[in-house]
Amino acid sequence: MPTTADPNRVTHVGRRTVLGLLGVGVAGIAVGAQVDGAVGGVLTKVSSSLGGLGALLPGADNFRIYTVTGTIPTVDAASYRLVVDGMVERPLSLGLDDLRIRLPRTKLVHYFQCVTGWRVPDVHWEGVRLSAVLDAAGVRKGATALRFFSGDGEYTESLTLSQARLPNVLVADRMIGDDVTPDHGGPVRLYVAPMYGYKSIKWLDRIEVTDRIVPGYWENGGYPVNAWIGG
Amino acid sequence: MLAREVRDGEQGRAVEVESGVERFDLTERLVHWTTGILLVSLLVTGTILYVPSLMLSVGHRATIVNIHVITGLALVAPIVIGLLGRRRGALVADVRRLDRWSKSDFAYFRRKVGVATEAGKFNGGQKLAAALFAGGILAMLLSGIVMRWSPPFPNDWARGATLVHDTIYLVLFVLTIGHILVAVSRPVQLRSMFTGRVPADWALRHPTDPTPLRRSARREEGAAAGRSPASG
Repeated sequence: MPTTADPNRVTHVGRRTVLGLLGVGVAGIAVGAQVDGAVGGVLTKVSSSLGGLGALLPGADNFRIYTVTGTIPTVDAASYRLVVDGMVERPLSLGLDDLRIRLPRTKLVHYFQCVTGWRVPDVHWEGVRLSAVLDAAGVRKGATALRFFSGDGEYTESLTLSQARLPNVLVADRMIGDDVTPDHGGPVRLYVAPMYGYKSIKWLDRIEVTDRIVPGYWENGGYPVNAWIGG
Repeated sequence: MLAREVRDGEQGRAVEVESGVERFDLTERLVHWTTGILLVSLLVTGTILYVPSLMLSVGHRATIVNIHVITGLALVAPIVIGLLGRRRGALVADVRRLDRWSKSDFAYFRRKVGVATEAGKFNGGQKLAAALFAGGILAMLLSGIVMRWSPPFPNDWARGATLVHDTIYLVLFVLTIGHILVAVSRPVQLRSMFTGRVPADWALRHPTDPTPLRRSARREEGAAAGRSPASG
């Protein structure tokens, strides 16, 4: 080791490293969404080539499976029923056949955006517009809101009637080109395209028409009742 | 104070070996272990939230998120309290030592012999780890807050914060495992983080503060001691 320069000279590398990492963090928060959008597709390919480990890659466009109870409800498709009750003319109990054959079908392609920041682009959704289900049941005068219940017994959600009647709000039984899997909330889940993912309640088994908004599970945890993405 | 004790050790060695020399005072040890326990528990809850198969088998996402957020906010408390508290002297001195890099700290990474014993209390590897922990934790705190309270923050911020949080999580995970593995492989240093003390003869070979470099004698001694880690 040449000792011509002052060997005792001190530089504040520690401080610089800490501030540098903090700077990277701030920059990542500021422009990460663009980076995520640009590299997400590539990372998704890398991620799927890694098999099970691929799910651990940051930035890949993968779904993250959430459940608020200890289990993933598994519901037999043949015996599945979706109850529509509350302030309606004709309370309904719909099976999968009713959703697939008797009611008008709708498809749409739209991203799934979690409130905590991850996004899956270009998800294929298929099912029945919530408005069509409501029309089949006949909403009584004075009703203003909906309450949704999940088969897991814990998870609930809410929408106003006018939000529920938006054309991109689906009672979905198919996504990503297949029947909705138990992990994704199958056999039937809600998909509320213009709102954060927590509004798209999984394992949907009951819709109650009410005269007031009852905040749902995540809303009681502090998230907005009106969960417009970017709003 | 410490230098004095070391000098005493030279004279009354037998006594000093019994009691040892203090390397980490109570404040430092409390800050270390509370931070360590909080960080490990954050990595556990974070891993459950991050790994899909674990999330599925554990469930109860909202509960785990709440534990994770509260632990995360608490993570910076020990060091802040330690640095503001009345018994902060040793802690502040060590933070200063960790910040200041001399030539020997860079040499540590090039595995150069001859200067490494001049590192003082912490070697280059330990200084880098400390800086990565500190910077990483601050970036995690910031991105975690944006993720948890994403509305009213713009959604693009939440997306960026998720990317940052996930990436630094992987870094901190590896760093923490590495830190524990290295600690377990160094019994003297590991014990000193429990008892605060190191044997006096060990302390003599690993001075707390680097003695100013002079060419001839130092090089000789350094070659003999090799690249042994100079810390407690």
